[in-house]
Amino acid sequence: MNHFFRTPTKIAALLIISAFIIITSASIPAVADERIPLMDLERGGAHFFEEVVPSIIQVHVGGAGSGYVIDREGHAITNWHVAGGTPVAEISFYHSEQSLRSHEASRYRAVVIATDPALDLAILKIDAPPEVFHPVRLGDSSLMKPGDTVATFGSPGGDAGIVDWSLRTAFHDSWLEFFNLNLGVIAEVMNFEESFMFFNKRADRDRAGVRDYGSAAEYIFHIDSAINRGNSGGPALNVYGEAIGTNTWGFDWLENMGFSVPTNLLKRSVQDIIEYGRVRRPWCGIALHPARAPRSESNRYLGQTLGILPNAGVLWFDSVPDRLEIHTVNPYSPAYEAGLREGDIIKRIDGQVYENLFDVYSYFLAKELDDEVVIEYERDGHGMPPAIVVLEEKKTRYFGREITAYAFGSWHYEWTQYSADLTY
Amino acid sequence: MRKITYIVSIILIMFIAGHQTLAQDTSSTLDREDFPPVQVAETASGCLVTVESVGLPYAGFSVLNPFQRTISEIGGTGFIIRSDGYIIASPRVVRDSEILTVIHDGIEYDATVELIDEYYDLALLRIDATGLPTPILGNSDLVLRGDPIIVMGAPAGLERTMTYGFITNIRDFRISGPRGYDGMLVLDGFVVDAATHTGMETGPVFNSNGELVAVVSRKGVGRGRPIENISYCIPVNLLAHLSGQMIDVGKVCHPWLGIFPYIYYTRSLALYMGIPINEIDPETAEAYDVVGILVEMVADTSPAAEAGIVRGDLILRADDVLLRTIKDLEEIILNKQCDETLTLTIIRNFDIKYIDINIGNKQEDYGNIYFAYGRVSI
Repeated sequence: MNHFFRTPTKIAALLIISAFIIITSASIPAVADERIPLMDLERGGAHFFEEVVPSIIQVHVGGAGSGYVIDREGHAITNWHVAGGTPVAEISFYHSEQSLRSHEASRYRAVVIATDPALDLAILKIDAPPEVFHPVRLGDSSLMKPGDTVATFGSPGGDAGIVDWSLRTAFHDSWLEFFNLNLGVIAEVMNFEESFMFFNKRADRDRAGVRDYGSAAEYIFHIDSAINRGNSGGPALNVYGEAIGTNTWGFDWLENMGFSVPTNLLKRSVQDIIEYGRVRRPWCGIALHPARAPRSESNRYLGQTLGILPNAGVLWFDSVPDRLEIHTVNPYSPAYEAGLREGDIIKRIDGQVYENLFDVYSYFLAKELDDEVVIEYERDGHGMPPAIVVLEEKKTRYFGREITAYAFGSWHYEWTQYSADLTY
Repeated sequence: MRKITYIVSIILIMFIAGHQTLAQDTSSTLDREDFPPVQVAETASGCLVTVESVGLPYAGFSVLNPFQRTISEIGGTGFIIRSDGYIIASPRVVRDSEILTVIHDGIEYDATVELIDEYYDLALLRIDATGLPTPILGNSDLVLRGDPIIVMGAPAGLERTMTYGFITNIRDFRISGPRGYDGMLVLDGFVVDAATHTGMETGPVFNSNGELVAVVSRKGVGRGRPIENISYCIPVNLLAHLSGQMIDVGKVCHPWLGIFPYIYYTRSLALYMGIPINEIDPETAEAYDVVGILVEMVADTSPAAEAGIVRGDLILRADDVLLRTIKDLEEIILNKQCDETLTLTIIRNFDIKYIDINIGNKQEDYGNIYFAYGRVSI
């Protein structure tokens, strides 16, 4: 052994061998990743297309939207604004040979089980033999970061159902795309407040009959791949082919600004709908709005009324943080039972002082059914005994204008009684 | 003692070596040489040219300035298809031009328009030069959905613009054509999600090997709304066929019958009209609901009119191939050449007939064009 070590050539050989071992062992990852990336932005996604396309569907409801199958029983996710207005829809799967010519071979009937307008979600149950279902795995959307590669599937161009056959030309006929694959990245993970603003700017005038509609999600994805009309309801997939979001909407006149509701936010509603046939969302029954404090309390607001400071009316919910006033109470709600009425000023919620609406909503996000929330409030300037609100499922419809703060995940604003929401 | 020092030194060197490999992994800078768009932009952009056209469009008459003339300058994309000076460009740019300039590699050439093919939306230019670089033609049959592609162009004369994207879909699409709606159908064309701007028509599309796989034809147009990142491209196999005809023959054949088809004709509609489909063609009637193509109108001066096809004929088969959609018939026609014969099986007055038609070239003015506004003839 001594002799071996004294020979310089052998030492060098040993060194080279050991270094080689180290280099090779360093280059091979210690734990093999079971999920294989199916695509990237350099080599594209030809294999990815073949893997994922069997689970993508096209939803025909006059126009066309997109969707994707999530289990072997034939449940599929699409958007509320695609399938919310109809009890039954027709869907078609990708059919490699005949996809471009006709879709009759792979067309099936689907029932819209339930919808969740707050998250723009509709669940379909497809009436087809089980061997045609190739479900997409649902991924963990909380792991996605800005810059991560995503792929979107959809059938853009199919938004407007053409019923006037005499105006239909072969040229216009060709606008409907089938099963387009787009690759892009997550441009931004928008937080609760941003998602609120963006959702609220949307005014859907669609067949569902809801004139004005706004909601907010805990966070949503802004994706830079193209999301056109008709892409709605299609999945946004990560490189492993797992759905991490459902494409919801984009801007008409801005390119590459598409928005996708993260899968993690949908999971609870999806489970509820499949299990109970409806969304069981804890509900409080009050709508809050920030009230301006009396002038005597703050010189700031005196300045605002005199027009010295920039007008806060544009972003009123941001800039007037002092008091939260109850705007509306649904008379059939747990909040009403607990004694809360319109015009009450909320002081504390579970012992915590809130100045911002978004903080309140964020707090309610984590709540479950039958959770108790203690609300300290004051009425006409007098402190009242705290109201103990037991969150429950919304069971009654309150007709007329209604602004409702939901406990989980969303802020929902209904303008008319003709809501597409069949579950509440 | 010496042994221990040896072992310690070996361990030290191993540690340093391992550390160095780790350091190489983490501190590696962005390796642009490995990124295909960069390589392709360097190797394949030699064939790209910028087309600049100056025209004198009619701009109306002004009392205040009766001698007013408006000059329009349009910039567009082209590429060299043959090394002896043949260039493919967009008709939109070269049409009605007074002065036509082609800029290649910083050198300006005067160009002449050899041929404008409205039905495929391609123009052939010629410049006085030889030994020009040409693109390597790939095989567009091997392209798959999801493949990365590079689109090059000169939108509005901005030279050597490059956008990166993917093959979004492979599908039939219709070229806008002379009237904006009745161009030729391109079978299995490419839909691309790379950004293409106005002026990037006829921009070459390369795959990651730097081979030409397609040529941009037009952007997608929504029904009253903009569509983002959907552009249609002509596959290179078809382009090679067309450019060969343009250069060698001097004209391009657009196979055409002159029929305006109804969407499709169903069995229920046939029963409603009292046509006994089951007796005439049992196989067709039992297998499919769609049994044929209804001739809604016939172009006045067309091969179909010459062969005696009239309005109301129901086409069941073409060359004994069952027709289920209009595209089935159009595909058969497109796979033929001009002056080839096509046999149609039709129903007229409850009778089955076989009619031979000599396929002709598509005409822009076939007589009754005003009745056919907005409709596509095949």
